[in-house]
Amino acid sequence: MITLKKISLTVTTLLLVSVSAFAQYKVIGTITDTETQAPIVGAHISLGKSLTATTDNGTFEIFNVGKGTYPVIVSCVGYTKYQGSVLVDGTNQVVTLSIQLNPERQYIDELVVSATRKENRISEIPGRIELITPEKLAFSAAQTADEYLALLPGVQVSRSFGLFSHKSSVTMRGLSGNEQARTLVLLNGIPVNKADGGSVNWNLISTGEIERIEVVKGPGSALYGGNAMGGVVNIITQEPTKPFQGSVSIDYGTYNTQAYRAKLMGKHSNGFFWAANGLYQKSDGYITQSLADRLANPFIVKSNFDEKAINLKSGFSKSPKFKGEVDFTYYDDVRGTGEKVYQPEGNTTEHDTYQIRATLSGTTQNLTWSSALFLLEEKYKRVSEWYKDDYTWYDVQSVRRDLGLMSSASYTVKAHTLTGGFDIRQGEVDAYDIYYTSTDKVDNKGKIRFYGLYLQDEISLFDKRVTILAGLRYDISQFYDGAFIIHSPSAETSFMDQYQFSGLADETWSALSPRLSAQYKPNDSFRVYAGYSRGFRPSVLDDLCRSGRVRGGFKVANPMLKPEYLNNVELGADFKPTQQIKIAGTTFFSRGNDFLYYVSTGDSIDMGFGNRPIMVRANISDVEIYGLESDISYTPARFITLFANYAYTSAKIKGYKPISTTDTNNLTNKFLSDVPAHSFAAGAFVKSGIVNAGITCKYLGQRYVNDQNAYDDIVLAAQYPSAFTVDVRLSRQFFKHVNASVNIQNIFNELTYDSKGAVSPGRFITAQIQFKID
Amino acid sequence: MKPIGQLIVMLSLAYALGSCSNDTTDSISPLALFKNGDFTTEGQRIPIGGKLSFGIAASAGSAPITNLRIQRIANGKVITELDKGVFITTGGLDYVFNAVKSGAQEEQWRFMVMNANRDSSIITRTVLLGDGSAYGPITHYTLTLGMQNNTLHPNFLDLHSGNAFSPLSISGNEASVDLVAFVYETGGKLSPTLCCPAYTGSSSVTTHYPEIGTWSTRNSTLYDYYSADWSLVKPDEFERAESDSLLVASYNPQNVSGLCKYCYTNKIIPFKTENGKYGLVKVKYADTSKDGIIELEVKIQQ
Repeated sequence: MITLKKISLTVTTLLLVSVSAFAQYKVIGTITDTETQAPIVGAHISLGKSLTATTDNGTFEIFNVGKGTYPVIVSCVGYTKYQGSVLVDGTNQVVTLSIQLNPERQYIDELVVSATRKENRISEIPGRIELITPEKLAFSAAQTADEYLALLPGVQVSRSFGLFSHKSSVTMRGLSGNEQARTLVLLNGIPVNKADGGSVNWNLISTGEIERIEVVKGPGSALYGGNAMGGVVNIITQEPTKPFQGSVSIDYGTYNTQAYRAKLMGKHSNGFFWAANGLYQKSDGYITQSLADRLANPFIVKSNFDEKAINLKSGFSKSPKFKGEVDFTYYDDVRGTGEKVYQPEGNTTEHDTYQIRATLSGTTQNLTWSSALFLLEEKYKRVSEWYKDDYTWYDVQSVRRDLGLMSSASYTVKAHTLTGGFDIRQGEVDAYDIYYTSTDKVDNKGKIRFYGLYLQDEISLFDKRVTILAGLRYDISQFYDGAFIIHSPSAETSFMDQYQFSGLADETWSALSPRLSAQYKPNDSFRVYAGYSRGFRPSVLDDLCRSGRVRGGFKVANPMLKPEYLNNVELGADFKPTQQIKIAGTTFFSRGNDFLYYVSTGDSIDMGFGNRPIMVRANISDVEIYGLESDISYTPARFITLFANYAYTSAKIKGYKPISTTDTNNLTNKFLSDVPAHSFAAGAFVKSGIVNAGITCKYLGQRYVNDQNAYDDIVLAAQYPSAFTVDVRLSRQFFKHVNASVNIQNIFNELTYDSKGAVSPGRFITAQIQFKID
Repeated sequence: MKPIGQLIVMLSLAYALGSCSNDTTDSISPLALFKNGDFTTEGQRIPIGGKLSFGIAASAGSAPITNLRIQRIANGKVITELDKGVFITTGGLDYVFNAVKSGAQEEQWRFMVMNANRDSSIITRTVLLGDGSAYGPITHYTLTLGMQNNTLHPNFLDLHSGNAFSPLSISGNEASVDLVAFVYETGGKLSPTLCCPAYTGSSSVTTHYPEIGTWSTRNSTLYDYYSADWSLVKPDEFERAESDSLLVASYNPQNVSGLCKYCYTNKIIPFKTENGKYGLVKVKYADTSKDGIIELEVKIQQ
């Protein structure tokens, strides 16, 4: 007979069975190195359909695991893959695993995205790609994002004053050291070069957010269009891997430099992720001016800085099938430039910057696609005051805005991977020089729009032993709404009166950028490649629509400027004689035409302190650049990495076209300025339980100060002297959640001087305490 | 407080209260006035070569005074006699400007004071041509100065009197020094250079004469380098000048500086001292070494 008691007992039993059947358990574990017992950071773990990665202490957690037996796969670059299984039988709420991986001593063949606008292994790309890995970032003593790049062969970083510089430029392969516009810089695949001057605010990119940096050498215009004439640098930032993680750190260093950083992020099992990064940094600074300037000018003070930044990111990424992300950055800095007369902060530069990005990406069967919208708005202000015959004070106030849409899609069919897309970008500037000690106000403004369409075919043959890459891109640039107008001129600006303009007809240029390269890779130990690529660089708005003072004279805006072009051929090879050693070499030859230079018009003008030459930016020359890059890395044991590289570059002007009969200059066979013939870097990274140590050294050979290769009054030579610097970084983890480190840049205090005789900061030491939250 | 200061304060208060009653503007413009005293009056007739003197007082308004501009409008031409950057936060502007009457029948003098908000105040005064000529006598002398490393000759010159001082004799006479000379490399050339104690900047006088940095009074002399560069004053004209007419006429205030480079032998440079005296200096000889000498012939208004 069925009683109420029996029914209750049955229901209760059923409930208990169902609860136990659907109870959620947690699997946690630690992944370590069999040789050193050190925790392995960033190892990927898959448990059934769940994916995660180890944290900074080598641990992982997987939530919401049901009862059952699951395959476990653990993989990490540099280690042999682990395959096993785990049983979750419900005995314990938490199941703990301890897995050790065996080191695999072979060259790390990482994935990169920049070379083909989709993921590819470096060894499968017929070109020269450099990767700054998380390990190199962790062991390098760099203070800024661009300084990491100085260790790469053939890459030159022009940052004269370290953290105190308000501008820096990264160039490569013989292109002049001060022209950032010839190298495209991306942040997570989105350009950050401003159309105004082609420059990048490297201080906007916080080193604490960087996961890795990809560098593609040689013209990348076949995929990216303008600015990619010399190459492409893509900075990839970190993404969360745990439900909640982060860190807080404090830095203190030379010249009373202080930094406060906070980083919080999380990723939920449903795919939602978020991140928040904050930075506040300041320094009392030091005096950059030469002794002679200090004796002459009673208004010299230290060059200091104060900067803050916040970055907020949120998105959704449950699987590679779809990812969406929105990113917002605000950055604000004030940097003193070393002179103060009456203004509260003296001469300063300020950047008040907003950056908003939205990206969508996904994969469906053989199709991978991505698109991104971005807006970068920078309000730049420069306060200039000085006292000569009387007091002069004026501000430069400039709003620079860059926005655009980038899209890409890749489709693989048999041996072909077709990648194509279109990009639309617009850059604009609205600036004025406003004088307070005279009536002058000078406006300059302009806009430039870019449209680009590209297609690339990557062909893999003979089981990937042969790869052919063929691409073509067509770009159209349009300059419009340019104007240079002077209001209420006095002696300060009346000499520019004749150069005013507005209401000009639009100027349009176009460029076709082909690329063809091929690679033969018979096995994992050897590959050889050859390639041809063409790059171009349109003029920047500053050259198109601003006249004004430049070093050595007065420059006139030239709205008729055409782009400059570079054709490049190169031959390269990689060889791994043993699992521990990798040798890479590249030789390249480039021929550029219509290169842009400041040249004297033959006329002169009185700018209020005597006659100075009038110069104009013009497409006046052909250049010939050739060189050699070599790199060797050696990993004798898992805990030590050694590297060394050398680059030789010859960069000369070959065909100089005078712009007027009164131009007596002849730059033919002169060397390009700011390009070292010889450079090398070397270093060692050592991991140990006592302290992790990184030591790097850099040598930069002599460089011509000007394109005339002539004696310079301030440098007191035709070339800057060579420089050799050594940096050291030491770090150690304490108590699981605390990390302490010391950075010593330029340990031998080698001082260098720029073209104005200003001095670098010398030895720069910072110490950091970091508290991890997870 | 000096009477002029009291006047400025009262005027500022009145102006501010008056502005307040309008209840419309957030920023207060500066207020410029002509001072009372021994100054050229409205419509006064002054003969050619006669002295003009204008006294200007101004309150700042709601931001520091940053610019004083003085223009002479005559015969349809506008000549900027002074366009000076200043930074006056308290006490207002109190300035006396001296000039010489030209041959124009009528001159309109325009005085503008601007503050850091770029608000300005403009006042004008008209001066008419009187009968006769009032060109005055000049002081004429020749002397030798030493460059910065020369210890055998004096280095500091009082242009008005022709008195020259060495580092040993300068004490107590700093406020009378108008001209110093030195040699330095600029533009790839060694430049014998005329300068003045008040000049600062990358080619500052204190680079070569550090002791000038300790002087409490540092005079400003403005050299017309444009006229000098283009040899607009001919040597025979300079030799014939016996009154101040050439001295005044050859000075163009629109291309002047306290630093005059490339003063090689035979160069003639118009100048105006801080006291408002016009003059011409001829370089009879100039070394291009830092321990060399420079021989000058000076003609200056008395």
